[in-house]
Amino acid sequence: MCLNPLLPVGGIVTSIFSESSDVKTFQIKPETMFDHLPGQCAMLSLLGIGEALFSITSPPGRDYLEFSIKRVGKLTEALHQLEIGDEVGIRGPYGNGFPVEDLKGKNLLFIGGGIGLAPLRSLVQYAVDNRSLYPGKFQLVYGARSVEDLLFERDIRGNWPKEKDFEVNLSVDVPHKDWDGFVGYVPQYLEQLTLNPENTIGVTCGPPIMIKYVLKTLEKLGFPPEQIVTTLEYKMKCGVGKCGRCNLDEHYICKDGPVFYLSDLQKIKNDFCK
Amino acid sequence: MNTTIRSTTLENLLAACDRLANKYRTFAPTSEDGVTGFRPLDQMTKEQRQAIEETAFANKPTVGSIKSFFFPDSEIYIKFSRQGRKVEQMELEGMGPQIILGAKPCDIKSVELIDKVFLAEPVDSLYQDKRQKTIVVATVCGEVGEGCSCREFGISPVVAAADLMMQKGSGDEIILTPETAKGEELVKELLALGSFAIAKPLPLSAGDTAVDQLSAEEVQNRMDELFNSPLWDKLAMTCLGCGTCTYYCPTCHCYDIRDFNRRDQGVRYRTWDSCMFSNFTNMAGGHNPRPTRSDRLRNRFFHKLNYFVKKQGELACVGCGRCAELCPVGISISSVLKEIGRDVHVS
Repeated sequence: MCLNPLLPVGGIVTSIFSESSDVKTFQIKPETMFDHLPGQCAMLSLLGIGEALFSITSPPGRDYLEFSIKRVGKLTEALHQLEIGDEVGIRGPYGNGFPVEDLKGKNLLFIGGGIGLAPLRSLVQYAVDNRSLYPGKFQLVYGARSVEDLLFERDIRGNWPKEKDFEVNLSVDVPHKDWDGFVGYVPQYLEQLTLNPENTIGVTCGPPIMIKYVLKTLEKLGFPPEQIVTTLEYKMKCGVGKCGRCNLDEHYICKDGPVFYLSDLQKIKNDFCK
Repeated sequence: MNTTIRSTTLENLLAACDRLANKYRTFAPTSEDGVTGFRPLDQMTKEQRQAIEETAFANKPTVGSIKSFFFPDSEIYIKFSRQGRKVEQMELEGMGPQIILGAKPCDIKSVELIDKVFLAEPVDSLYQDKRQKTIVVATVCGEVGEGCSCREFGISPVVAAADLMMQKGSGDEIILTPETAKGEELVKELLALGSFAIAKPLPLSAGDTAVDQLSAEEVQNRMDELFNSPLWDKLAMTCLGCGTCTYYCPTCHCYDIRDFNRRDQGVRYRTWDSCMFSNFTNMAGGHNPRPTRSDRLRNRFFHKLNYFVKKQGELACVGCGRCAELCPVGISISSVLKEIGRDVHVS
């Protein structure tokens, strides 16, 4: 008999980073490390509490996996109580990941909203790590509800703006006395920025409503659907295309996604671009 | 070589199954107060045991389908105990070989359909293990039963591809013909018990299915045009969202994974779930991609008649009629099919 694909292996929490009032990044070392692509996900679980799918926010090639987790429910609340040295269950990687081959040689426009930067961060860092394969211009447009909710401070204000040819544009939904940047929603911000679709691929992730309007806005700004990539999230239980809940049309987000080109998404029934 | 055997009566076969109880657990269809279902032979009352023959050879499947033999309504796959911060996993008892006596053609087809889900990579080992350890003995229907429409879904009521075919011979005789190696193996074990005789196989009907029906692809195409139909809102007006259709459907395979924890021990288990429940897709944080009953009904019928066809090339309905019969408000998959111009003749 083959091994039950639903069985997790153990993983040890080796570092915890508090990103905001309700987001923490956990560095986990699984008993048996697995390779992953940027954009792929893994199931994290706590025995007796539950299991859920999270995107892997660290790039490939590290000896750990990082997950940035927002406290929104029973499991994430329990995960936020973890301390260094605690054990979690982990299985994966799941999903297709970002089309890293197609992105080679392109200008990359990353568009994130809130916790949606978590899956993008894996791709951004991967592209930074492999700059010779991704020599084009990098631009990150990232928005959060408030100044306090901007995640990955060390990357968005620290590491990434220092990289060659890497423009970082930040926005917040509500004004703040110390904020002199853009105030408003990410799609609005995109319209204000000068974006050149030529040889550029836009990659976006955020809350469903943001994704919907970013997709619309990018098209309006002249990006053909073949140059727009998004990664989606539904409730998922199995991660292997069997439990039946994360379907868009006949496609399961956990297995056939979570990453889709807009051009492919437009061909299927879904609530993100229709 | 297929060895057909003859049992003087069904009771003679059941007695043989009793004798094989240390190797196989046998389940058979029976009836109590008019409700039919599979029960373990070793836990049946005398009356239930007497009702097997009539139930097994009826022109109708039992109320509960055979999917639960491979995909139980609840199934623990991790058991653990906790002492302070130390968590230890405990060994789980595996399932032994089992015999299902009297499976109907529609249910047998439904298992072939969910095989396409569970046995696809990565193989679901919990399901595969049970498939491998189960011997399915088919009893076909003489004709399409009341409320059934198998022929409309390309299934003949008189043909089944199981491990063994069980037929009525002359008088009370039961004829068993193996169709697979597993079936042949069981026949040998039965013969060794001494109470069976080698027999000539009875002719098997070639069967026929409804001819003037739309192909699965045509149903899929016509359903695509129905996506924005007012039908879904209309059906949702009466639907209670109870999930009965999904629990009794032999091809519904959606599941949830849950944890249960009490003091120093707990389990992780998978359990049937239903796309008719709002919580099925509701995410922590509150976003629900299928927030209305209409969305959920539409998704259910689209999964059966459109998505499954696109993914697996076949309709995910076997015409067993359970959903329509058990729905408390009378919603039927045939009314959806009628909407796309596929008139389903329900017997």
